[in-house]
Amino acid sequence: MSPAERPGKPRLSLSRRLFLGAIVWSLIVVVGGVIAMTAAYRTQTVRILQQELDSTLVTLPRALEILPDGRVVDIEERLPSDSRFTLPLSGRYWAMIAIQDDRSFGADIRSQSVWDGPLPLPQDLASRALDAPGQTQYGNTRGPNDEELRVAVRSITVPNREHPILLMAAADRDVTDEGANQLRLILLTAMATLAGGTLLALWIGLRMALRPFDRVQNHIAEIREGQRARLDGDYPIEVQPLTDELNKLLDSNRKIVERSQTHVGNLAHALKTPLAVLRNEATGDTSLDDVVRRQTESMRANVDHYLKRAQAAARSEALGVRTEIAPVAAGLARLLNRLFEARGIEVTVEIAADRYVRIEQQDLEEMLGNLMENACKWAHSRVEVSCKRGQNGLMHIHIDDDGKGLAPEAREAAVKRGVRLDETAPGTGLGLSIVADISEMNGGNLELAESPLGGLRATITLRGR
Amino acid sequence: MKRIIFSICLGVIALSPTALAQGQWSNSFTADDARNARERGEILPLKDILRPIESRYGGEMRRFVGLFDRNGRKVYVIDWTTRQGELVQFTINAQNGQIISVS
Repeated sequence: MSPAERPGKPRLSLSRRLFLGAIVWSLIVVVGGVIAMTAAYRTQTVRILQQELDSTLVTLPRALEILPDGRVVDIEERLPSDSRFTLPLSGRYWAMIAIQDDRSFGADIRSQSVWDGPLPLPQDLASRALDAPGQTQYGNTRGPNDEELRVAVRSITVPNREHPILLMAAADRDVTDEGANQLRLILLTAMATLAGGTLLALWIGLRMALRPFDRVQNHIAEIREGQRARLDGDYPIEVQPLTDELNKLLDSNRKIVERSQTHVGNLAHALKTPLAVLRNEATGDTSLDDVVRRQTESMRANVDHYLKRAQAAARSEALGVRTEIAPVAAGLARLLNRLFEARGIEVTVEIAADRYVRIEQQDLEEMLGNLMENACKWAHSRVEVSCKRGQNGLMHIHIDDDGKGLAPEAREAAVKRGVRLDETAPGTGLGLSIVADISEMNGGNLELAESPLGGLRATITLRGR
Repeated sequence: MKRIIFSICLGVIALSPTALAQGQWSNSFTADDARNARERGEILPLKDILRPIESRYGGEMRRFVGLFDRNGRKVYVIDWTTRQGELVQFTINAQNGQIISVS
C-alpha cells in the first residue's frame, strides 16, 4: 500500500524523526541533569551545614559544670564564641534545655541570638533525639526571624540527674538554599544553551545533508523538461551512487528508445521493398494491374503513416529532448520559398530565438513541414509562421495563409485520418492527421481556425520549456 | 557570670543581667528580660521591629547595642549599615516599633 493511499497518516520524515528524538533526549538530559546535580549540591551543602552544627553541639557540653546534686551550671567563657551567637536574630542559634518528666522543655540556656523569640526546636525532633540518646538528629524548622533553619539535636545524660539535657544548634539554611537555587538556574541556563546549540547544529547539519537530494530532484525535473541530459552536477559522495544509478537508468532508457527506432526503421524497409516490387510489377493495363497499383499505393501510404507514428511515439518517450523552433521553421521556409517561387508565394517566419518545445527535431520538422506546405498550396500570396507563449509553459505555433480558408465543419473533418479535403490538391490526405497524431503523442494538439490573414490558421500546441 | 540550669524540681535560678556601661542609658536588658517583656506584651518581637527598617533602609544590622529603659520607656538601640553604606544608629520605641531618633 503506497503512502498516498493511507489517509490521515502523514509519513514522518527521517530528519524530523531524528530531530524529535534529539529534542526529547535533550529535554530528558537537561531536566534530569539539573534535578540530579541540584539535589547533589543541596545534599552536600546541607551536610557541610550539619558538620558546623555538630561542632557547635560538641563545644556546648564543655561549658557545663556539673554539681554533685545534679544541678548544672554553665561557664560563660567556654560557650561558643562565634559573634553570630550574640547578635540577635542572626540566623545562628544554640540552646541547652532541661527536660522534664513528661518530656516537656524545662529551664534552658540559650544563645543571645535567639533574643526574645521562641526556641527553634520542634517537639517531634526533640522526641526523636530523646529516643536515641547520644545520637544527633536533624530536622528543619522556622526560626525566630522567620527564616528556614536546619536544626541538630542531641540528648545527653548527666550523672546524678534523672532526666537528660537536650543540646540544640541551628543555622539559617536560606543561604545554602539560595546557593542551590542559583546553581539550578546556572545549570539550567548552561545546559539549555548547550542543548539548544546542539539541536541547532543538528538541524543545520540535517538541512545541509538533505540539500543534495533537493538538487538531485531539481535536476531530474530539468531532465524531464528537457533542459538537461544527465545528472552531472557536483554531488556529495553519499549521493553519488544514487545519481550514478539514475544516469545508468537514463542511458538504458535512451538505448531502448534507439533500439525500438531501429526496429521500426527495419520494419519500414522490410515492408517498403516488397511493396515497391509489387508496384513496379503491376505496369500492365489489366484490371488486376489496376487493382494492385491502387492497393499497393494505399498500402504504402498506410505503412508510411503508421511508421511515422511509431517513430514519433518512440521518440516522444525519450527523456530530455527539446528542439528550438526558429531554426527548423526558417529552414523549411527557405525550402518552400524556392519551391513555390513560381507561384509568387512568400513564406515569412517571425519566431524569436531561444524558444524551445519538448519534441524531437525530426517530429517538429515533420509537423511544420506538413502544415507549411499545405499553407503554401492553398495560399494566395503569403504564409506566415509565428509563435506565442501560452499558459502553463505551453507554446503555440501558428501557420497562417491568405487563401480561401475552410468552413468550420470542414476543419473538424480535416484532422481525421485519411480525409482528402480537396481531390485536386496533390497528396494522400494523410498530412494533417499525421500532424495531429504526432502532436498528441508529444502531449500537444493541433487546431484549425480562421486566420487573421483571411485564410486558414493551423495552430500546433506543444509543451515548451 | 554564671547561669544555672536547675533540676526539674528546682527550676531556674534567676540570672543577674549583664551590666553594660552605657553612658546615657540605664542598664541594658538581657535576652531573658526581653523575652519576658515580649511575652507580657510590653514590647514587640524584635523581628517585627527590624523588618520595616530592613525594607526601608536596606542593608543589615551592624551591631546590636541593646534594649534599654529610658525614662520608663523601653527602647532598642541598633547600629545599622544602610543600603547606601551609611552607618547609622537607630533608637526605636520597643513598644510600637516607632523610630525615635536616627543618628
